[in-house]
Amino acid sequence: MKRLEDYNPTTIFLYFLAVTVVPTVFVDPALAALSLSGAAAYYILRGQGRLRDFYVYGGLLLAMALINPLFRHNGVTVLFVMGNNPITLEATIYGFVASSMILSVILWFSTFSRIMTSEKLLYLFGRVSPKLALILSMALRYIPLFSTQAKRVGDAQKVLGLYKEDNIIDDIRGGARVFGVMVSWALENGIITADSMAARGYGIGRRSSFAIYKFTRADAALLLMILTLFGAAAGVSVLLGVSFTFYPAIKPPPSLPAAAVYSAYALLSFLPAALEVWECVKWKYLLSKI
Amino acid sequence: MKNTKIILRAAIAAVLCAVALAHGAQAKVYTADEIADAIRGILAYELSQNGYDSVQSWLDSGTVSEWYAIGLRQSGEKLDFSKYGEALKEIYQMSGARSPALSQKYALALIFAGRGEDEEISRIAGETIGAQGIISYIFGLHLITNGAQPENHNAESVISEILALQLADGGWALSGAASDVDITAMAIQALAPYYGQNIDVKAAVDRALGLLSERQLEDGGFASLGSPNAESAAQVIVALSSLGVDIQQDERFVKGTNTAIDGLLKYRRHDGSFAHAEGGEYNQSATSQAYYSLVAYLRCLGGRTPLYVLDDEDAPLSPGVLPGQEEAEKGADTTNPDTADISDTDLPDASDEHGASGKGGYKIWVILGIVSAAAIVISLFWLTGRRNPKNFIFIIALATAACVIVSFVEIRAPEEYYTGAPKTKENAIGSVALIIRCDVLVGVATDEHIPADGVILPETEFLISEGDTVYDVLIEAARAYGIHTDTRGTNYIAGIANIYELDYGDLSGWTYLVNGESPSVGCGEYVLKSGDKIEWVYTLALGDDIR
Repeated sequence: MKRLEDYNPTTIFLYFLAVTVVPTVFVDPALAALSLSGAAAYYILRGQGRLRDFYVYGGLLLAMALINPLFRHNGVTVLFVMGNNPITLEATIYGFVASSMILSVILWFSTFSRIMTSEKLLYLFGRVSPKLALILSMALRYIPLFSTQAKRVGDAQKVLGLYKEDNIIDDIRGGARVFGVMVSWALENGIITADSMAARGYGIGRRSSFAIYKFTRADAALLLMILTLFGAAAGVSVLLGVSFTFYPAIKPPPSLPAAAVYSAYALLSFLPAALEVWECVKWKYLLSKI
Repeated sequence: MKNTKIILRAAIAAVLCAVALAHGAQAKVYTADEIADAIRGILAYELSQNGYDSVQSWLDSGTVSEWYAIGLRQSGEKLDFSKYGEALKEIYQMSGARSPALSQKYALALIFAGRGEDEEISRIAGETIGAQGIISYIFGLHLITNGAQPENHNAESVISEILALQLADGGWALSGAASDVDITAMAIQALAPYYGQNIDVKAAVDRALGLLSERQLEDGGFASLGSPNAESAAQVIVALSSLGVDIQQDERFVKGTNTAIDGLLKYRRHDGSFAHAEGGEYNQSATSQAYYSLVAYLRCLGGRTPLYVLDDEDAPLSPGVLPGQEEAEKGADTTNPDTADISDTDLPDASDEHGASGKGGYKIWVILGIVSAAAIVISLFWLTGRRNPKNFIFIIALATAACVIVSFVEIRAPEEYYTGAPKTKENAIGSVALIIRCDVLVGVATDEHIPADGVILPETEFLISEGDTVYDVLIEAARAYGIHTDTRGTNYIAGIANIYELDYGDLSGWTYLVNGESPSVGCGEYVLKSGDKIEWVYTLALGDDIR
């Protein structure tokens, strides 16, 4: 057994695809909760999260959840009436489900971008489309690049005495200025990158890529498991029509097929966290034998 | 430091302004003591005329008129009403012809004698409400306010009857189209407890107050049927006091240097009783009405319930109003002889007073919550040393924005919004018919929330006022019959009864017809005329399948 990140890029990629497609296609409180807890468990076990991030995520969850009932007025349980439009319980619940689904996808992708290095992406898409692989790896590189550069500009501004951090108004104005700087920097950086790449001869001949990832038996076994679980969850949902109705009144799907979908997805969602824990236990065990 | 000084100066200026406003009228303001003196004078006169040595013995005899009994009960003095109650029942049973007015007066007195539990009261209310025009609705509403539960009426139905009888000039009358001050004031007295809860009542009462203000004479008094008299002024004092408005302070009711209290006390005779007309002889109804109106006014100053709403509080009014109390009161009151100062400092305006307790009252609490949250955040910033003034400016700006949003967005509880009955409109110009249907979905969609016959609202009549649009009538129907609606602004209806546009195909949605034609304007712009027939129809093909 290995950690998820040690598997072949194909397996990793298909796993993330499977685990995010199910809750986004079938909006369901149980699936959203399983997806969120699985993503959060993996995120925490990998030691990615700082406490501050979770405050931000919690605030995001609450804000997205409460915005929905302000714009969706469908639903039979009226909590109160704002102007002439009802604010309903159903829309509020849908808001919470949708926002935890979105948050779980954010968490999955934040882990995905850490695991899928540009090397792996090049391996994965290099043969299919070298251009796509290049663009993907450049795009993914861009996110951390942008945040490091933003921090640098911010620090420079502070050193220049352009804004003091001791009050909210100057904080916001300073932040807006840094953002403005970053926009022009990004445009300029794009041109410079393009020029630089052209100068190095990119785009002249056919690109090839090299990687030494092997598709082992373990990869095949895990991939088979992922596809089986995904097939079970998605197949039962589609074929037996397991869908959670929010509007106009909440109606959960029939319990037997729903239980099958939920348990299949639970296994899928907690798979990386379980591998992580298993690996950790094994490591500790082996250490204890030395 | 500089800031503190500025704030202090602003605060002082604001206080000075308020004081200046309060004294702007410069009318003679009777103190609570002077009012209490007048009340004691009336009781002393009645006792000596009827030959009783104390109010209690007068009460026990059962010969006290209902009006005095109600006033005495509401003066909060320690009096025993049990004997009076029995005497009252006896006299009523002996009386032969019982007019609705007599029965209602009896039932009301019975409530104030502490027998509010009697089943008789609800029965009388049921039999008499509506039996004698406006007066029977007014006193019926007093009975219901005090707990009577007639089978055929409730507070809302009686209120809507009273509102329906309001005349075009804003007042009420026994008959005819010209309003009468007494009847208008009595209607306000009955509606007063509902002023803060019902927007229609508030509007009606505000209009009536405008009329009364107009009708006030230069001497502060009022006239009924063309002649100035004590009773009209007394009824207006009770009406304003029931609304919690200090009649000596409300500028609508200060004429020159005179108030309605001046207008009443000018009919006071040297022996303490009151005359009907200026310089006239003792008049029984003028005296008793003067009595309870002054009690009502003292209740208003003391922040107690309206005269006709029995409160459980037994505390006597301050100053005491029984004859013989003045010596004791004066002895105790030497430290603060001018009790009217209290009324100087708080100037209750009708709308403010009731806005807080009834509809929309939550807003004040929400705003208070926002302000206190802002105060907590500010003090946290202060304590953690982030004392840059810009921080505080930002927080205050944020709190102000939140308060503005809260005060502009109207949030209502479902029970309050879905009224269950169409509005009564006193200025209706006619009626229209409304149908809401989705019969194109019958047999097409199997969802449970679609009615089997495709009719969401069968043809229903609605009253319309000048300028009412198709949108207004739809919203009124939604409120009256609890129909879910989702509106985007006033011109676009996204869903009715949880059936939404685009639910059944890309061309599906709600559209409306007036008299069978599909107008080419939004429903918030189509102004209706009497006799129009509105149809809200669900279409599957942009309206092509319904014509």
